[in-house]
Amino acid sequence: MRDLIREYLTAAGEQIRWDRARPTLLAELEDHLLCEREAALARGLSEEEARAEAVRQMGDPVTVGQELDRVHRPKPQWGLLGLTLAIAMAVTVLRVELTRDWWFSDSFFQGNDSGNCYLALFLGTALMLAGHFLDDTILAGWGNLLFPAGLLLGFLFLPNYAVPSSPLAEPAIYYVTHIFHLVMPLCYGGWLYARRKGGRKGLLLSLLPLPALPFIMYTSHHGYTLGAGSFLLLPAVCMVMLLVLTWKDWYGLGRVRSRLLAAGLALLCCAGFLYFTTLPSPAHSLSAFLHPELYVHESDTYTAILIREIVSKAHWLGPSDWTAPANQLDPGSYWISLPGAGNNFFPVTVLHRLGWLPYLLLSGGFLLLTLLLLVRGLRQKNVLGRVVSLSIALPLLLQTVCGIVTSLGFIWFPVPFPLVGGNCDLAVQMGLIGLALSVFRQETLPVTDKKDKPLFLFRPDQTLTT
Amino acid sequence: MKLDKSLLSGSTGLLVLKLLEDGDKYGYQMTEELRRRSDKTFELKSGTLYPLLHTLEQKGYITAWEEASDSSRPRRYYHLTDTGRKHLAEKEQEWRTYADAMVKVLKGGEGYA
Repeated sequence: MRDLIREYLTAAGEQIRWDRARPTLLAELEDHLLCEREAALARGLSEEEARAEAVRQMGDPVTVGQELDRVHRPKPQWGLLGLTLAIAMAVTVLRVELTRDWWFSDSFFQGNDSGNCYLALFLGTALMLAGHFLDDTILAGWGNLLFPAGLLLGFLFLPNYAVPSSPLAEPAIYYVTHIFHLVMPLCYGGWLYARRKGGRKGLLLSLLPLPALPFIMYTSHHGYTLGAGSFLLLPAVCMVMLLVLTWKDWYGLGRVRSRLLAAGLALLCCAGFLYFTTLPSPAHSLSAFLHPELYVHESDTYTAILIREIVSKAHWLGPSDWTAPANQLDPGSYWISLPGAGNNFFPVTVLHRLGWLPYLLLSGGFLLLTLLLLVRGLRQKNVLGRVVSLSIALPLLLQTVCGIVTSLGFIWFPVPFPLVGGNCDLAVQMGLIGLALSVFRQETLPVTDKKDKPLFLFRPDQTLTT
Repeated sequence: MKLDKSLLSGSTGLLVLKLLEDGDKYGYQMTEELRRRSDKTFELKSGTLYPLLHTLEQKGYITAWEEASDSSRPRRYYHLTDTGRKHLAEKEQEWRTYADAMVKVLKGGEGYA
């Protein structure tokens, strides 16, 4: 007996070009066909007649397949890829050109080597394109492993006590520290995904490993190269991810209870964050943040005062009127006066050398890109896609906002601006943006509220469920 | 009487959303319900129904969830979202205005006699 239902599904499936969409779509058609067949059997038709009637009721399989193919196609994110590439190229050219006259020495490395910068841009572009065409669901399979493995790596290699005194280990650990800092939110996203609908135990398991992150970053041998506030950035990002997902009843604890829990946790975290970042006194810290010139003898306020002087003397377009004061250690160079001018404080350099307009274009471009990534990410119906894009967009947005505030002389939580923290940061962050864009590329996939697994898989050689 | 399909083509989205107004349904259930409510006047083929359902899902008017059927086959149910409900109310109003106008025109000059 000819299996008309299987023939129908094979014909419809041949029209659907996207492999990832096909199983769910065919599963739904199969269910419909079998319902039609059962109804026909109940009307007294024979098995063969019932199958033929089911197929007749469904219409032409080629038309059905073609229509489904039209609705479900990957959408390459050329616009966002172009915007990211344009920003990365602008940043790289500026990093090279604006630091060209800065000198290098073994003990005081400030300038940016053009060869390395352009190599990082090339590598970053390749990683971004690879990420864009990657299937983000691979994270689902590794969710339970990546985060604990990352923590283990962090404990074993990053802190001061673990760094071996070897000339080879030093640069290797520098790169591992930066990659750890950039990639761990994504690994934590995988960990959270694996805890979905895990109830109180799931929430506890999500919360418990978080204190390890500030410990690793605080004791990290190369943590200072990421900026003074970076040891707080990583746990802050992970905590915000946890709060956002708890608010959306990620753990299946009930909507009201989840929201109460998220609000309580948010209050606790804000209190803890404010306490640790405003030691010894919140009033003193707030006053020094707003008016660093009143605390001129305190070492922490030096950079903020300096940046404000530069900001106050910047022009709309062209170099600022600010000149570096010469002293015994510094012959009057801008970049020696402001350590980090080539990376973490690079937006200040743009303001100082080129003026407000290029600075605003750069900052605005970053804000636009990171906000687009976050808003699109939060709108994803696919829960894994939402977690992946949140884990990538959130650190970028926090870095951008903190970077803009810092570059205007308000220093409280100094972290590197995205893509300008160094060559390694540029390449890795471009790769991560590519991965976030792969989520958007696949947003036309049919999703179901069950961990996004297809309903069941149909293969042409398979016997149908009856 | 056989109906001209083009009369229905602009309104299938409205019909599908309306079917989901009083509860979540799966595809076959929706075709049967439409057939019943329209006294067998309207029949939706799967080639129309599923691409339409998936388009409405992408627009955020409906969402999908799955549950095992009686014969333990997983089954995809559709649910009308708040945005979908709002859209349905607008489209329904639009349709009523259109239908009233059509009826008035088809009545001819009766109203002016």
